[in-house]
Amino acid sequence: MRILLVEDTVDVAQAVVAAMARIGHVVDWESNGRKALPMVVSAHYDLVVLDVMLPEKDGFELLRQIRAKGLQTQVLMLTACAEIDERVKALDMGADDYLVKPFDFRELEARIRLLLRRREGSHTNALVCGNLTIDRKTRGALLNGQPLDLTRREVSLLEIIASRPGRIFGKDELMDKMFTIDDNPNANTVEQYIARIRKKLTQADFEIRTLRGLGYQVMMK
Amino acid sequence: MIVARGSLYTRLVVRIGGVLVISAILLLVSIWVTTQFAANETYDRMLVGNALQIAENTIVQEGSVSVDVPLAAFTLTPGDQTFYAVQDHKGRTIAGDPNFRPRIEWSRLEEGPLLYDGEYQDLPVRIAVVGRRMTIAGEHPWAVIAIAQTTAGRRSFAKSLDLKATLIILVMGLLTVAAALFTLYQALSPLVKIEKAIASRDPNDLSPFAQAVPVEIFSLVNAINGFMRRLSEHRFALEHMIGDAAHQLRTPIASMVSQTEMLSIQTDEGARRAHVERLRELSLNLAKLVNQLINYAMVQHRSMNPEFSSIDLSELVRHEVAEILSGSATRDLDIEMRVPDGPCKVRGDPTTLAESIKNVTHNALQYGAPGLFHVCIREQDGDWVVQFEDDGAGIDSAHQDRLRQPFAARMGGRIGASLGLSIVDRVMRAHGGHLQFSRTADAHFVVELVLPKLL
Repeated sequence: MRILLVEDTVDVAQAVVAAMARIGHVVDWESNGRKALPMVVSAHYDLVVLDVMLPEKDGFELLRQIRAKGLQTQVLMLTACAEIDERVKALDMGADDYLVKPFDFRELEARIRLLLRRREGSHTNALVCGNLTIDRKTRGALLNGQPLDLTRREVSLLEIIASRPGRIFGKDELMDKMFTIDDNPNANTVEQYIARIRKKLTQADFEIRTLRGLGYQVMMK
Repeated sequence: MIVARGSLYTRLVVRIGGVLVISAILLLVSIWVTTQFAANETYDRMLVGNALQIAENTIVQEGSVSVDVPLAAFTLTPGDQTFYAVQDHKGRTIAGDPNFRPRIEWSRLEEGPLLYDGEYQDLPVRIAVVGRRMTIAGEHPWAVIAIAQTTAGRRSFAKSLDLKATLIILVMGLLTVAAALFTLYQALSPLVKIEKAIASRDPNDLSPFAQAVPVEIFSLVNAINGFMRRLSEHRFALEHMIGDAAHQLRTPIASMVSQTEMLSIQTDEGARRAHVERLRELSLNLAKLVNQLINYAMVQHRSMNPEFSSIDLSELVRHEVAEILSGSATRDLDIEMRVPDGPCKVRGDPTTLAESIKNVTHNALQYGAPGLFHVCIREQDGDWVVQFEDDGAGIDSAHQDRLRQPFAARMGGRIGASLGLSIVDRVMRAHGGHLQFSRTADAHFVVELVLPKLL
């Protein structure tokens, strides 16, 4: 996996490079925004860790360029600015994740791992969650290598929640993502689907937790 | 920006001026009526007097009526024409103008002199008719004396009276208005005094105005004093806070510098590792503290300039809690959220409310909740109450008030001082609500955010 770090604060940059090396990744480091531009749009990197405040071209501009080119590069943005608006703006513009400085390096590590895994998955069209694998193209699901009998909708739902373990998905959000207006889902529809999926996933090494009033969460067992 | 619209002075002047003008008009009208009446009275009396004089000189002589008209009867009215006629008992004009034959109400001659308006020779005249009973035989033993006088004289008399009266009233009126203008201006002078007092104040002097003020602007000045008092309290708190923040920041930094110092001279591997670990802990805490300070400043700023809008508490709480729980390891926790069916509308600032929810949730996860974290929103007395329940030790009632203050020392010997709850307290108060704590029947600790409902 090829990682590019665009960060102008020397101490932070050195620490990130070192942390990545510890888990076996080699990181290229550029500290100037303008110089980084041809690098980020080159499709050479799987993950770009992008600081917002950069000399000559800021992180948002670089992000815009990456997405304008249609690249699927994973982007993790770093900033010292904790404004909520900025976070929303970054995610809306297509960043995959966002960390506020000063951050816990363990947090950084965890998020980078997740992004790389997603990248792996998108390369091979496979979504992996524990011992479950979903082929995004064929819509087939494998548990411990054995094919699972899931309906089209069940696969969709599983794909959404298993792509981000730990994240809580609200019922409304799932309804939005799974159904169109014509399908006419009601409040219980999602619940029923989850119940059905659970029954088929007894062998999985993760569980789907129901957090009453909040939503559903995939957690490794 | 305040705009000067209208003027107290103008209002007073216009109103008093209006009253004066209306009274002047009424006065003039009544004077005109009265002088008219007076002039008529006077002239009528003279006319009647003239007629009576002539009547006195009317006698019966050798069986017929004759009259000796005294010249004195006609000298009193310069500018007017006078006509007269004396008729005997047979209706023959025995003196005066034979063409002058005014209407005579025979039945009323007995009552005395008669007066009425008429016309003679195309001129408006006032006519006086006096009858004298003559000692003579006949059906109507009356001699009739009639005098007519043009009205020019009486009218000009009335007019000159009017003119004088009007002049006097006008002059009086103008003098009154001038006096009023001056007096009203004087009356408003306490306002000018207060204005000068405020303008000459030093911006750092927020002591209340102590001078005596008239009753009418007492509450105004009181309000100004109250405002200055709040401002000075606010400023004091701010200055205090800056002092506190400085202290709170310097302390951990000093600790870090010390640890670095010790690390640099330490050779023992184990001891070095200990120092590094301590340094790491200190820097993470400092990072948290700085974040809290920034949030506190943000909350302070926003409560001074609130941008309130209509918010669904239910959705906001769900979103914030879900986000925090998504990011933290909550594997073994019993997590639940219960809300009413519809939206829970409040008027508030979404940023600071979100911050409060985040703080309470973080606290619960970090310092409480070994097994359980429940959130619920319920209704109570026109408020929405957001309850965060966990089965941790919670905060002793002895510490609760203390922890609402900024930089209260953390409990249980934890490093650093906390701003989290004071931020929540501040935000609640800025929204017209409050932060309170309670315990459930099974000794779970509950943090409650109480906010007034938006109807």
